[in-house]
Amino acid sequence: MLTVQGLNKRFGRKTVLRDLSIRFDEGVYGLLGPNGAGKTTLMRCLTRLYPVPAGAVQLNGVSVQDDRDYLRHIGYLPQKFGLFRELRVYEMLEMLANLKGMRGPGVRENIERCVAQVNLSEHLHSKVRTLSGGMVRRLGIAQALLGDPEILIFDEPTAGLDPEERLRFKRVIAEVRPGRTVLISTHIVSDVEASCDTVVVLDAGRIVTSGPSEALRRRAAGKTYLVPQTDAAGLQGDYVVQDQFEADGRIMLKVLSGQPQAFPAAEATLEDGYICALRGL
Amino acid sequence: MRAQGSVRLLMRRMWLHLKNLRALALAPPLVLNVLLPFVSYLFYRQEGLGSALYFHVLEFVQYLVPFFSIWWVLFTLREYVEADGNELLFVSRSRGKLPDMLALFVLYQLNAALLLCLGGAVLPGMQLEFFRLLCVSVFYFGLVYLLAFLTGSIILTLLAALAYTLLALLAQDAGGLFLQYIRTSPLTLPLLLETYLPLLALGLLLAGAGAAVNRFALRFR
Repeated sequence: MLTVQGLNKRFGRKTVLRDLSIRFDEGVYGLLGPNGAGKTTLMRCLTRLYPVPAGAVQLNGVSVQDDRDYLRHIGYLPQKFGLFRELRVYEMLEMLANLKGMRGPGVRENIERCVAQVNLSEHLHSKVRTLSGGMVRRLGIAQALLGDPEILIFDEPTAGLDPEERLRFKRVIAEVRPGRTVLISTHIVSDVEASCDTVVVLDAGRIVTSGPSEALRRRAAGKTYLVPQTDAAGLQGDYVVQDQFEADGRIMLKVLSGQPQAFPAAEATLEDGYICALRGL
Repeated sequence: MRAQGSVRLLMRRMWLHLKNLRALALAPPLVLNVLLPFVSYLFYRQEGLGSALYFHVLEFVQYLVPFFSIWWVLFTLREYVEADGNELLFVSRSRGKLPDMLALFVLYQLNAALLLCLGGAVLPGMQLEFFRLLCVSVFYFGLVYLLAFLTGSIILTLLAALAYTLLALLAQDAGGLFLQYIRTSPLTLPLLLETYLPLLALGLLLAGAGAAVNRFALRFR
């Protein structure tokens, strides 16, 4: 169990995380939030890249600052990943395993197992620079799995991937999740919908809401409307235009509003719930 | 047993670091083992054996040996300060990278020591010049290690090292100028104490400052 308690993080005068408290048990957590919400900063605090006050982050009750072996429990994939491009896939993973302090005859087997889990076995002896963007991202997941850590932290793992690769990523998460705590940060709502048990919405360094994805979706129930663009002047009070599309030759707006509106209701999606949470609707 | 394992891990990392450099990794051994002997031979053809040859060779090794002592270090540091996802390399028990860079530096110095020992067989006294070159090389190491982490740019660091080499070349034999290290006079104890040991000490200080930046003030891409 990974616990964050009252975590504050400042860079100069700018406060990036504000009194953040959350508990991560076994399961898959989606960290949703706009750019600058503090997702990456939180992940860097959890991986001790940024120093944190004693006790602010604990693994099974032990402060991570005091736990010499803490990083052995962590597998991390940063937002950008492009290391050792002139090495072969096996050598690159060997280098990262080496940096993790892994040694002994079991290392080779561990590397081959991690590569197999992300379906890159046939590229084991290919140079990293010859891999496609999606393959490099899968390689990044493989290196995070080295040493069989219980906690996996992925920072925007699907950014820049095509739909097929994103689907492949979701399958990999489903395979590696048993017995693990997986944190996935993203600003793409659809990525968390299929993969995550719990969605945590961050904004301006604070947790806005946290809970099952269905609960987040229901937050927008009764607040989603379909409005013809020509009738938009009839909307009452505050509202947010969530989407715009053409239907039967008319431009239609999908609108979110906390106030009752005299327009047909639309089915709420997870993305609608996310916007409602961010805007306080 | 554990120390043996750590040394094996370090050596394997060094090999992979050098492999990752591709053709760039060949520059220092080519300079030490091909270019310097070849140029020395050309000087020999021109001057014959004698003090003129000694001082020409001494001059030439001072131009090249210290600068290339940081070649492997500099281009290996590129992964740590400039590569996409460099933060991953610091999510490890050992955040400091000084041991790895020192290992590469020492490997080069072993080659340089061997070269100068062999040179000493032809030009007596040349092997002692290794100590002069080592002091200057330590200064280069400290400079590069600090600047790489401070600037987050390998190009800027390389340019700084090049600029220092050029300045030293232009101010050759200008006595009394601090940091100016190229001399064609043989190494003496006063020269070692006044010029080269201070450079060594400054290099160690700069390396220490670089280690502090490495630990506390990293930039992530």
